[in-house]
Amino acid sequence: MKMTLPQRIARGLVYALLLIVFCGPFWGILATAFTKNTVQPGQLVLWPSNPTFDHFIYAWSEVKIWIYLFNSLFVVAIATVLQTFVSALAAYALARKRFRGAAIVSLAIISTMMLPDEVIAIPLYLILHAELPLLHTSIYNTYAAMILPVVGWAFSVFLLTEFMKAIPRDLEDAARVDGANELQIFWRVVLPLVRPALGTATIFGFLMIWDQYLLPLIAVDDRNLYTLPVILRSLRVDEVLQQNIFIAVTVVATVPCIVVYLLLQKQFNRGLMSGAVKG
Amino acid sequence: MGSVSLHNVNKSFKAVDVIHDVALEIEDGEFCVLIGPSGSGKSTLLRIIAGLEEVSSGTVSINGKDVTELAPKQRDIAMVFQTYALYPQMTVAENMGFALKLAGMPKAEIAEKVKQTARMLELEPLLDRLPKALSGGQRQRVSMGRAIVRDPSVFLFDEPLSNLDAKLRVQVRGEIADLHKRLGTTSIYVTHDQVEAMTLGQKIVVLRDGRVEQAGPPLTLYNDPVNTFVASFLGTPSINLIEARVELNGGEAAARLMDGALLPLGAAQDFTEGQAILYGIRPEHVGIVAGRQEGGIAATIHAVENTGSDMVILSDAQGFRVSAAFKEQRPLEAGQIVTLIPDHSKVRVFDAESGKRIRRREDS
Repeated sequence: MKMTLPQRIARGLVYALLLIVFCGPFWGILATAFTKNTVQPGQLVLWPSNPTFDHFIYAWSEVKIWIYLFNSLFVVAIATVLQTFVSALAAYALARKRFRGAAIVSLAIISTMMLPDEVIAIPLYLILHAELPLLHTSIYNTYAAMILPVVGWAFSVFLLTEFMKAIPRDLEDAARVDGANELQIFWRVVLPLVRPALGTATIFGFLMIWDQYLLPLIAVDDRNLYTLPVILRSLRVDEVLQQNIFIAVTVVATVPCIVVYLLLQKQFNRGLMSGAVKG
Repeated sequence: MGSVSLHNVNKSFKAVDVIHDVALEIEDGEFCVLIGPSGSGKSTLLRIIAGLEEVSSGTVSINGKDVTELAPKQRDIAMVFQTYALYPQMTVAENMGFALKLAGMPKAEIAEKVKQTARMLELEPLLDRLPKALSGGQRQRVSMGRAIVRDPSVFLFDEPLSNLDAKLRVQVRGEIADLHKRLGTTSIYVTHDQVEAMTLGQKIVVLRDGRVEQAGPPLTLYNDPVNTFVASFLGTPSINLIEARVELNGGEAAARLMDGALLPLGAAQDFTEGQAILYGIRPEHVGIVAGRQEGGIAATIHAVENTGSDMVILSDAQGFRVSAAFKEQRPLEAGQIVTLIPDHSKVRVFDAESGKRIRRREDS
């Protein structure tokens, strides 16, 4: 049905409003980061006056944001890969294998979603400090301390389990008759079929790990191991630092999320859509 | 090539017994059809042969070798699934070559074998397509190609035509028969469609509740069923089974039907006076004449089903219904009064209580 002019105008207005609500704040920090004039804390500009890269250059050379950016990227890259892999393996077992206590294992994994980070902070701190057998050292103050606690993530396991449950059992049987072993069935048959879900799990996992604030705070105390969320907090309360530089660091912290989303957008959308119609 | 033997195979899922003491011999190169209603255990039996289900007890042998404990890949079998089970992310060529790739065959050899099989099944133009770009019939052919390319000892077919429309089913059925003739590979085929069973099978095994009711060549089962289950499972329209009591008169026995009709059975020695029986006669062995006549069953035509090539008459007698089938067209219509005359030589008699066949001297 063809829309009338008033209908089209109304639709345009709704879209414009949504655009302002969702993109407005991001535009605000972008404009502020590129503005030469100093702004007050809590203030954003809508259009950059005297556009400049100075704040980014300062953040890079003086604040040494590259150290924290590297830390964040390193942790998120390793942890996301491990998390997706471990989740896929766990989901395969829960979705495709019949074993005693499967329902309890599933429930136990999902129940961890109900625990706020603050509740497990102290036990986690103690575990990270605990001396490892044979190695006689703890993983505290290492990248591993920021990576290992997020490798197992219930949401990702749950998401992939639901997708894997939908794969017809005949495919697995066909692969078994074709001579595939368990690992080959997982790797060559099941995993390629849940690619949309893997994309979704990867994006959500990436964001979850990228946004980790409490974990790095209790896992490391060496400033050189700090990730972007931790350093952002510390810069936030730095009274000497210009607001524009803080905003520039914020922009840098946002860019990887946008890049990852754009890279995996196709899989992400397909994952969400197929989840919606799977029934 | 390979023979398949099942010895006292039992299978239980928790407390439920689904296969009971099945013993079966399938000769090298034979086309054996497992048929039965839903839940009869035919697919489970096929999966047991494939190694996809473990037996609770008993043994499975292929080519004389006990494979009961072996994984599917060690049994030298290939399987065609009802749902085709093609890997959606792989092209037709990759689907067909997957087993060979897993077996470590060199790429060039895989490509050659796949090409050869694709040529045989007229799949060559489709080799680079994904399964989602194929029709149902093409997918089923790819599924068969995937089995053929491995050159196994035994082909297992699990209701491969169920997802196809009626016309395509006839076509693919013909292709399966041709393939078996050409390759001569032992084939075990599961279906609930008796037309498929009768047209494809050299041996038919009728299953009910996990038990073998009867096994043998199609026409033997059709003409010489051991019980009412086998008799009524094979044949469309189904055999008429009419309740009757035996009456002996001198050396001759006759069946007294509920409507009072008296139909000859044969020698009296095979029966006892008053014995409750089921008088079985296939529709194509029932003659029909207009009006009333002695020596037949008086009935009124209830419906006439005319398919062009066949004519089926459904008629109501007093207390039971009888169907008759003809190849030629006849001027018959619903409501007409007729007399149904069974061909006495084709009658099959069953015990009313157990359903077991009562063999008459003239049956053998």
